[in-house]
Amino acid sequence: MKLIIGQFVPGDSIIHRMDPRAKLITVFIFVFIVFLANNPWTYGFLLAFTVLGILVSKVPFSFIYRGLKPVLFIIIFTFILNALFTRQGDVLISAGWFQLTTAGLKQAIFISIRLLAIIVVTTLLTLTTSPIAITDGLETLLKPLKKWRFPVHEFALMMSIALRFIPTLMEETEKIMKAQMARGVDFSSGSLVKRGKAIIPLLVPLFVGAFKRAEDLAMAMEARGYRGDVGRTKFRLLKWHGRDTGLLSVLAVLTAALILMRG
Amino acid sequence: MEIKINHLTHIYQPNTPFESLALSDVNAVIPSGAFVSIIGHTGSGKSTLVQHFNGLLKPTEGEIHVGDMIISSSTKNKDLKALRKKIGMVFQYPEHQLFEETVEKDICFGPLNFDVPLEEAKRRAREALELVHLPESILDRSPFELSGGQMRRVAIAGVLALEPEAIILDEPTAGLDPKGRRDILDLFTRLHKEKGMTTIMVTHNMDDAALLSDQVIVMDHGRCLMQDRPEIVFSEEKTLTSLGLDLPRAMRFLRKAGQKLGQQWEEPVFSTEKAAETIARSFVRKKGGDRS
Ligand SMILES: Nc1ncnc2c1ncn2[C@@H]1O[C@H](COP(=O)(O)OP(=O)(O)O)[C@@H](O)[C@H]1O
Ligand SMILES: [Mg+2]
Repeated sequence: MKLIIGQFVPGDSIIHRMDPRAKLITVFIFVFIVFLANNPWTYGFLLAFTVLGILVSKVPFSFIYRGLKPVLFIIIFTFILNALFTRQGDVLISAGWFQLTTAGLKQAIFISIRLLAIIVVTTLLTLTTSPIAITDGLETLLKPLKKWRFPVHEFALMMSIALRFIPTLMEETEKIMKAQMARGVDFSSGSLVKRGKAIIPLLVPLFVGAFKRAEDLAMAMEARGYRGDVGRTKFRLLKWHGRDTGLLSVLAVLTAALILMRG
Repeated sequence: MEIKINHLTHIYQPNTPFESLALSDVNAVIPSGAFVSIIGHTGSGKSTLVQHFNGLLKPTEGEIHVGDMIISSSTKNKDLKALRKKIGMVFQYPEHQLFEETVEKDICFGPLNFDVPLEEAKRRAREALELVHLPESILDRSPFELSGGQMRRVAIAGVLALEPEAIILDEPTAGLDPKGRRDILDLFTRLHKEKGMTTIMVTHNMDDAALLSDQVIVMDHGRCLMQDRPEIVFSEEKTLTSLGLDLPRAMRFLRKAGQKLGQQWEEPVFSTEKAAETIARSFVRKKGGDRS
């Protein structure tokens, strides 16, 4: 399991204990204010906020790095594209059609920081918040949409079921992969066509299992009297604390700083 | 084919917060042609251990000798395929691995992966089907329309068609009804007796472990606590109880009966026949004593 986005690491840091609504709002707004940054100062603020988040959450850096590896490719790709195709400012290196300019380098670094900050902060949300808490938070935050007939509860339920079954599905994938490897399938080498073909013995059992599980789950829910959110009370009540207001205040300060310092 | 396990340690997801030590310094030997059972509490590392035998997992430390092959952390993945041809593996709920349109195609899938010609693979499919006691008429049906017990037997046939020298069974009877259980166990006992196939079975059923195996390996918290003949392993009642493991039913019955009758039958007894014999013998002796 290399991809850690969407994987919860239980812990006891202040970020872990924050209200999921506060964290959701923060991430949502952060994704937008990232685009306010346009000079070294403001990008510095973004980086500082991100690093501070990691430090306070006590999730080891090495772990975040490992989790970033799969998306690192996208970041590097963006970096190179920006570095190559921005042709303003002084020329740093030039060889044939290849040209690296100061503006290009700056642009590349900034865009990479943007991407990195967004990805790390979102990852941090899912690393420090249990899937159930995230859906609870979302359901509460989206409640106003009900006025316009948006099926908020069903949406939240779908999401929590999906999140709940990601680990199960991963386990299942690993098990079926092993079973087929024992029958001579090679998932890791051979031509592209051969590898593509090796997917079928993996996907078919996975789908068969998923459908069967969905049926069982539906049956079990009905047997326990589930009929949507009508008249349903909550087991976990969300509670807003001082630390949640604190988080939003930090976010407000960051936003103000970005607006004031941007060039 | 002898399997030798030397100082085997396995860590899942090393260097992450999810790191878990599943095996630590395991040493054991599985003699060629033996029937070996592996028992232990859930999570004690049984599945992790057996998945090393055919290279589905590689050791974090230590090594495994299978015949003349040595598997260690530095073994290349492509060298493992040869190993998988020699050692078949029946997972828990093997029916989850079925995926082809017909039973025949599914059974042939393994052999074809190991470059067996199509005609030969088809011949093996028929033979394997016979071994698991399914009619040939089933070959053209979809595996998904069979009953649970039949699906499992088709999946097992798919492994037997590889004609392995040794076979690993990870709780092969989980979730089956009593008749299905007996059929599957009979099948593997037969294969072991008639073909001399080295058989390694992970099981929660102490009766099966005691009655069927030449050797029993006891796992606990990723360690191999004991490896010996069933008579010796199951005479360690205290150790087994402390690990949350039961004695075979015949022995439990004798213990209880002995308490009520003021008798002690110490020697390990595994089958109902032997248990009945033990009790009968002591009565006969008593009667004889009364007369004199
Ligand atoms: N794929 C995996 N990733 C991480 N940990 C695992 C994995 N598989 C098993 N484990 C852990 O390794 C230990 C041994 O598991 P396992 O070998 O499945 O035990 P058993 O088969 O005896 O029930 C358990 O603590 C289990 O949680
Ligand atoms: Mg197991």
